[in-house]
Amino acid sequence: MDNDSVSLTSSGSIKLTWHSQAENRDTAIAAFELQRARKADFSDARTYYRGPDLATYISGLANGDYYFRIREVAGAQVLSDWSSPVKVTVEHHSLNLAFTLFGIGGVVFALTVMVVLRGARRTVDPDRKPVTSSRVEGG
Amino acid sequence: MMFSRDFFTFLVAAALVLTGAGAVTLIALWIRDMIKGKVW
Amino acid sequence: MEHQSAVLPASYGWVLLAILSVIWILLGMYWGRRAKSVEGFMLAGRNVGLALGTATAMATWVTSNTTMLAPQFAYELGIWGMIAYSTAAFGLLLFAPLAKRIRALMPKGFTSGDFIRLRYGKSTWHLFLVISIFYGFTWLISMGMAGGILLNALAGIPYEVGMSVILLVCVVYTLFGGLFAVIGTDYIQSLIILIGIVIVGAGVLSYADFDTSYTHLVDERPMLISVMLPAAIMAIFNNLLFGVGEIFHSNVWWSRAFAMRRGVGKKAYLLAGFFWLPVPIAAGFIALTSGALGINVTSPDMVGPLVAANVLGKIGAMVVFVVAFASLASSVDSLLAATSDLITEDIYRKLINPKASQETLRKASAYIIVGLGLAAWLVCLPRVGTLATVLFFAGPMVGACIWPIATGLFWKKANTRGALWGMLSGSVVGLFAYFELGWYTASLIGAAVSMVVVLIATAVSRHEFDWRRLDEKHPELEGRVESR
Repeated sequence: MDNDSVSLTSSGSIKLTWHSQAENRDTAIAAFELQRARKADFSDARTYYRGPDLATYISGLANGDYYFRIREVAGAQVLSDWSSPVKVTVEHHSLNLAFTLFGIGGVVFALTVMVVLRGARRTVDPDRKPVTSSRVEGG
Repeated sequence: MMFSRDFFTFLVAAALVLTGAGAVTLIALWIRDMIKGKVW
Repeated sequence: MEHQSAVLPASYGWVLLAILSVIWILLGMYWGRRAKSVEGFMLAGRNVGLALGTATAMATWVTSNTTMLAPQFAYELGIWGMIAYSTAAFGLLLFAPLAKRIRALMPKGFTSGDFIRLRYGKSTWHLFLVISIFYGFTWLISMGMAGGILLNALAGIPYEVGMSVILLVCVVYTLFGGLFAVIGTDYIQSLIILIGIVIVGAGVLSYADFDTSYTHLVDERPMLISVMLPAAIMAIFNNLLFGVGEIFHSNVWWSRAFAMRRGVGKKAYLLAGFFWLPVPIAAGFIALTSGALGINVTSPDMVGPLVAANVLGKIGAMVVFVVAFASLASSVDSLLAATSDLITEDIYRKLINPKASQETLRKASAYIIVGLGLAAWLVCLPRVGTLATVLFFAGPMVGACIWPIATGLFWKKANTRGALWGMLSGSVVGLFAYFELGWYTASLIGAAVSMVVVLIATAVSRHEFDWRRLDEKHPELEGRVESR
């Protein structure tokens, strides 16, 4: 696999890439098998992807550690050993930070809406003359 | 806390219906403008 | 493969591209015959009706980002991601009352720059022009690049060719037809986009079982259906304010406000906002079915076309191609027109040649459109990958324009100091936040800082603005009456 042996993501997404070790592979039948595990010894491993592509983009992972390894296969035949594992640690942004930004954003948005709506209520009908300073007071 | 499957289904269905309704409304508006001679 | 192979055979791509290009240019030339005066060319005679007005507002806001980025957002940020994307519709909705107000206050206005100049004076105007032209040009470049990348990924058309064709076609029909051509093609493009999305979406729905998709997400990608996804929560209002800032300040939307017939503007923008709201979800959800359908995604920006082609075959891929072309063209032509209007009116006419006649202005406009297209083409050609991210620098800058513009239109006490320092401090602090805190804070902080500055400056001010000063007359341009 091409990825660093240890990777970190704060969004739960990561792109895994790999390449074939052999030179004379018959590319028509060769494929890759990607395993994913939650335990470093791969005792709970499951096949995550099996096919000819050289990459996969994973997303939506929850907090925690994930281990990946890959090997080449052709049908039922195994063509290579498992690669050395890649560990991906998922650590999402803090929810506190997220809610703080959400809060600030909410306030700015709400105030902006208020300015627009209250101002709109006082707008003169466009078929009459433009607003004169005596009629409508400022904010 | 997860969005429920029903919510997901409803969200997508509603989005598709509203998008289609948008197209229909645009056509209806154009026909109305054409009849009144107010297209541009 | 590391990169997806093209979803459509090259021959299909070339033929589609050729057909669409020819049709668009012919339509542009046909509608362009209406553009006789400067008001006709720049503002489509100030008489655009509700159907076309709504369509142009909606189609222009649907960029290739909407059709390609929405699935990517869904793929990376899940359900919250799609909903967060939809909040960009608020920019259109909130602009509706502004559109009405603009038309009422400036019946003979041409650009957003005219408003800032008359409302706040020269220094604010100059700063505003810098922000506006920077934003317009970087958006143009990002669309040009997106076009080249898209057509390459969809049909193997070489990047340089795809990018050049899109820019060239848009320059040609905008040159001939001005805003008439832009708005006319926008109407067709909006129908293509909406109908295309429904076709693909319905196709995927009928093919992919929702239960299976949902279960797959629960098992393999649980954060995509989580309500507490931090990355999505913190991006929501940042995206929303970026969108509001883009629409409030950009001449793309002001020119439409000036172009629409009286009484149409507010309704058109409200309708456009509502039509736009479901689009990111309708276009984006297909990414969430990819796992259950057994589709391997190697690059998240292609997940949309990938799923469409997988489910609907060549038909699906062709629909995506046409929708992508339509959304690209509808934005590029608007940018060309609006940015050239800004440069022609605010820089050429106001700063260089105030006595210019209609003919001179038409010619200047033409040169500027071609110049913009050429400049964009040159910058897009080397395909500097990180260039698209430069667009995000505009986030805090346009966010900082929200309060100066909104209060400038509605509050008599909003004043130059507030606007100038609001835009300046919002931009600077926002850019700082972009680099130090993260992209997901920049527009938000830009808007917040600007808001505080404007509020303080308004509170301490005792001066009140006379709205009549906005009704600027142009006797040298009011010759010909536009035919209906």
